[in-house]
Amino acid sequence: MSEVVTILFPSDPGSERLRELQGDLRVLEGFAGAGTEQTRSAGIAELAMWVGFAADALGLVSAATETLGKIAEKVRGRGIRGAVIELPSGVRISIDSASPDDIQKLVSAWQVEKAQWSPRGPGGE
Amino acid sequence: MAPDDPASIDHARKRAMARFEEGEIPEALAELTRLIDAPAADRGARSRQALYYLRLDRATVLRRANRWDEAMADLDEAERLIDGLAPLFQDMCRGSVAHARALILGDPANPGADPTRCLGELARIRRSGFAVLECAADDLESRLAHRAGDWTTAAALARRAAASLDDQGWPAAAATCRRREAEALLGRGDVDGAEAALDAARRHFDRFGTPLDLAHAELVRARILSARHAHDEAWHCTLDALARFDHLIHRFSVLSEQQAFLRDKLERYAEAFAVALAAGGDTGCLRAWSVAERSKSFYLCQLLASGSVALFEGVDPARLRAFEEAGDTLDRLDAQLGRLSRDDREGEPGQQLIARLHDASREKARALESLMRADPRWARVNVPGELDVGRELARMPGGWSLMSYYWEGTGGGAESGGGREPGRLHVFWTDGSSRPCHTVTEWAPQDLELLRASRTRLTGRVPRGATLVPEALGALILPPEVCGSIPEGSRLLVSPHGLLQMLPIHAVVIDSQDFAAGRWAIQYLPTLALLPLARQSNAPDPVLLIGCEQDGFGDRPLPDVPGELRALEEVWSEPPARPVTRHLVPRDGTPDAAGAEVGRWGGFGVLHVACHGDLPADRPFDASLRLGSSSVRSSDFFGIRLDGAIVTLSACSLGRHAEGARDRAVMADEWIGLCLPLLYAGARCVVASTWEAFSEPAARFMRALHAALKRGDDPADAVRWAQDRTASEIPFPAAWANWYPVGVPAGPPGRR
Amino acid sequence: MDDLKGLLAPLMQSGKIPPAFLRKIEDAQRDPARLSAILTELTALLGPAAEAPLNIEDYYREEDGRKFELRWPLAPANPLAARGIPFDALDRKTQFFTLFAEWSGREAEGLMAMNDGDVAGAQAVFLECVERADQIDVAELRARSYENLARVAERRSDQKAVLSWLDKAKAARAAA
Repeated sequence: MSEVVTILFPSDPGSERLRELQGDLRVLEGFAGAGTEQTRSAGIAELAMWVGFAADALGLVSAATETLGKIAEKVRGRGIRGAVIELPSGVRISIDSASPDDIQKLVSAWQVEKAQWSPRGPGGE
Repeated sequence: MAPDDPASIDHARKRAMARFEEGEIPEALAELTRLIDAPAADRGARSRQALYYLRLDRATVLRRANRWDEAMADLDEAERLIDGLAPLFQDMCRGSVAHARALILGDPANPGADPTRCLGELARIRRSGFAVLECAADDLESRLAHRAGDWTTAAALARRAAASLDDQGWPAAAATCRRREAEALLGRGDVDGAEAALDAARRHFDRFGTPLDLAHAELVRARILSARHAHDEAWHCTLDALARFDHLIHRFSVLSEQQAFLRDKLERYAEAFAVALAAGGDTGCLRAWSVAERSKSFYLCQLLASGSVALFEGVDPARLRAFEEAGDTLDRLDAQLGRLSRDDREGEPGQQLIARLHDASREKARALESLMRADPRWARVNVPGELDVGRELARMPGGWSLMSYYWEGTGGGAESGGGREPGRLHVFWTDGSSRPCHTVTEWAPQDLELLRASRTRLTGRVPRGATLVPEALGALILPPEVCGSIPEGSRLLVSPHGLLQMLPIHAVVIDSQDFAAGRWAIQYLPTLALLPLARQSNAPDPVLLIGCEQDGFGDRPLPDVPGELRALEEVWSEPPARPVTRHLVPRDGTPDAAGAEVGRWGGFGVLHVACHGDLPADRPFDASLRLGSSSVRSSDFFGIRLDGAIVTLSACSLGRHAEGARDRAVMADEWIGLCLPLLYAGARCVVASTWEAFSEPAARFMRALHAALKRGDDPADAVRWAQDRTASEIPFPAAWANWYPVGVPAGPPGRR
Repeated sequence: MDDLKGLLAPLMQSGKIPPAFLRKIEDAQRDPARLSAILTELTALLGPAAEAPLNIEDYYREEDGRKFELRWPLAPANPLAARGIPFDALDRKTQFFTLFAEWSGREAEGLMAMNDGDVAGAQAVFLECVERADQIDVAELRARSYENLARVAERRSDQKAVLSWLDKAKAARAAA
């Protein structure tokens, strides 16, 4: 697993829906795993699902944009509203309102940052 | 004279100011405040005059303690009183107030500094026509020129002010101006001129100088000697000066006051650092290293030097009750906040609750400060002895290398690292032969931006796939000469500084391929000055495992916690077993009700807490572990003794330390958070996270960590093992690199 | 003149006399009419903050009736000196009044010296004032002498001395 993005849910969609969503995501190109995630932080903590991808699955802007667009579709398809996709850089993409162009711009910025922060490093290997 | 007679008040005021000049700032402030607040026998002109002087003097004391806003408020009050004074005095008084304001507005240590307003006040001073105020204006303009690096102007104005003050019979003020003249001439490279000016100043200081005068003059002398290459003599003067500064700093028994006072003092340590380093070679390296470490974590060193004072023992029960009740109030408000919906929390109900929380927090802080001030053992704080890094290197247990960072110039704090200017980072370390080494890495503004961005990212929620530290910074943080000289498999004790605090140096990428944690077991320490202060530890055998799956604060449940505690119990129960106490605190329960009150935690040698953690950025001493319906807070640990325990906190962010507290930016290098009271309480090592911990990876990490501790691994090695195990299952640094071991390494018996 | 000195003393202690006013006083030293006008102006400028001059009568005690010794020469401006009347010829009370006034004069000289920058000179004068106060055993004058010594110490930033002199001043008044 080389890359991971996170889906953040504004409220608990329920374990059943989360399981179904996880199943939906398996068909994505380069899918390498998924799981729910919670932190031990006080206060209103978001429920999250991490989604992992194999090396280079999100390497190209076009491929990453397409994959993230499909994730958004699948989340919407399960009737979940208000969720966001969080990129490793911390940038968040609104699933309800981001257009493909918006996603592409954010992905491009992320790739630029990745090139600057982690050009060859061991992260994720 | 009646006690409230204006003459009596004048006496008392002068006594307070005499104490202030001797460095007893908290005491002087308390006395002046008492005099200001006391009801006057009459409200006549002489009382108004007395009150005017009190306000003016208190503003001076507050300014010296870097409490700018309060000082300005006193000056505003003093100005309001002037109209009621004798007409003959009014112009002079207005000039005096203008001078005091200008000093505040022109000081770069003041976040509200306003050079334009400062110049306006200067113009008012010069219009007054009083010779003594004219000198004051010259002196202030000299300081401004000094800060701008205009040495010639600074020296000329200081010289003129000194001559005039001598003529008018103000020898102390004249001596101070001569010292400033010496500093300006040093800046210009005129060493002979600097020496002559300093000698003239010292003729007064040697007989009548205040502690601060003497400290400052000694440091200037050190710089002159250093410029003349008399490095050994310069070093002796530097040590003398630093001892004097340290003594002033350690007079503050309350953290917030000490931190405020420190703000402009760290420049002196930066000057001392330059003098020390100038000697060159191993000698210069060790001296500079010692100065760098002495400039860090004054308060924690003071706490440990004060040794065995358990803060809550034998104190006034009423004060202790006030402190405990304030904590209970905080818990109730936290719980109410937790039960609000997201909308309500962000709306009016939430804002009101948060405001009440802040009030309760202030109340608790005041109660804690009251305990600290009232305890006579606390008041007689010991000044930590002089740190000699060379001596500590020789005493380090085998298998350890030391590494320290020090940003040049600004003297420390989160501000250091250059701002918009390039930065020079000094890296000190010991190589495989325990030789002291030193190098400097040069940071361009864009490097510093990257570092700041990294630090910002590593706060709160960190995405699982995040790159923690940009690779480009690797060689700046762990330069090749460092990596090449510390053997793989060593333990590395790291003392960070400024912007490198809370950075996971163990997750820095070396040579574009390895994480530092892959090569060394890395442990952290706020400052190497803690090494000689660490107490002997005989950690008890028993192990405490305490956690909470669902607390009473409305936080999400943590289903991993019960399994984590059970797994750790199994680890410690394996032969040779250690006695284990396991508590799962229910939602409506408390540690006390579960028989695990904090006061009894000293009976355990290993303490593991698994729950939600909270560290409010602006209330670091309210950092808490949420167990049931109560919180164990940071400040609670001041009242217990942990005899060398290893503390592992399986919660979020509790390894962080704040960069501000109660609306005041923290200027110095203090680790204000949970680590400070735990180390004071005697913990040998604290393992905690600095960003939000993913619950399931936390449980994995802790299982591996405790397994390693059980088999006798040093905590640093145990953490490295756990990092490695966790990374093999979850290869993202955000999940495995979130745990920092902090503490003094244990040595062979009889050493620590 | 004594009234003027009495008013000037606190001003000089404060160091707050406007330079122009000080020059006026210096120019008017030998002109009683101008001095009188200045006194009026000064009183108005000081307003309610003006200290009432000490009433020497309040401090005189007959005790055993023994006369005083003239230990320091009288100031040239003293009327006795001008008229050539021997000090020994005076009765005890008049001697007391004379020595009290001499103390006031020396205090004013000490304050002038301090404001002129002669801090060491001022200290010497105020130490003499302590002895003068001791001679006639007036606690209030003793205390004021100590307070002036504290002012000198303040200028030197000699805090230990400041505290010490203030303590002595307080003790002197307490013993009165």
